[in-house]
Amino acid sequence: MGCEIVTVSADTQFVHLAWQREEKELANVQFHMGADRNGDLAKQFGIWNGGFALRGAYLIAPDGKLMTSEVNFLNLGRNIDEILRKFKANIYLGKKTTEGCPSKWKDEGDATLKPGPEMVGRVHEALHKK
Amino acid sequence: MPPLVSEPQFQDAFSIQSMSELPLIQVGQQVPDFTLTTYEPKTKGFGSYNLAEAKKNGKWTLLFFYPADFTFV
Repeated sequence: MGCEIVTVSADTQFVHLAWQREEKELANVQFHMGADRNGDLAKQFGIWNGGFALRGAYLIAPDGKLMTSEVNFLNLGRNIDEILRKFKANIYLGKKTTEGCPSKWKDEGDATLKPGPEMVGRVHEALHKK
Repeated sequence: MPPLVSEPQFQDAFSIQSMSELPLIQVGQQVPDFTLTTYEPKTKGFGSYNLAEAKKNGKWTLLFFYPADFTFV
């Protein structure tokens, strides 16, 4: 799909193996399981919390630019559908550079916004035009 | 599920601020190249993930951090 998914924790690759083999929820995963043993990578994103990484998700474009960042505390999981939505929006916006994807945008074909003088105070009309 | 937050080894959110001496990567900035040693469930072998290589192949990268294996994601 054009996106490599890399899960990252401070565990070793050996523990990653054991976890993936043991946990049925992970039986069919296809992603890379990265070992950030000293938190060097987590520290660059400011989410290293005394030996553990917070639940951070970062979307990096093919040109190396960080496009999306989301961090939850240790006790709250992330919604992968929302991350997928942001990924799709980034792909779309890469092609349509004059548009913006509003919060309810889900997929190509949904209403987008074209910022400009006509839109000032008229976002409602732009979003609900038929 | 164990009470993650109340475990003593977890520090409160304030301690994160004080330990960040190096500049943090912000949205819109370049992510410096990195290499991670990996386990690859696809091949059941060990490998590595290199951002520079992903960029060369025109790939997006989703980094998905979590505290530890054997916790929920």
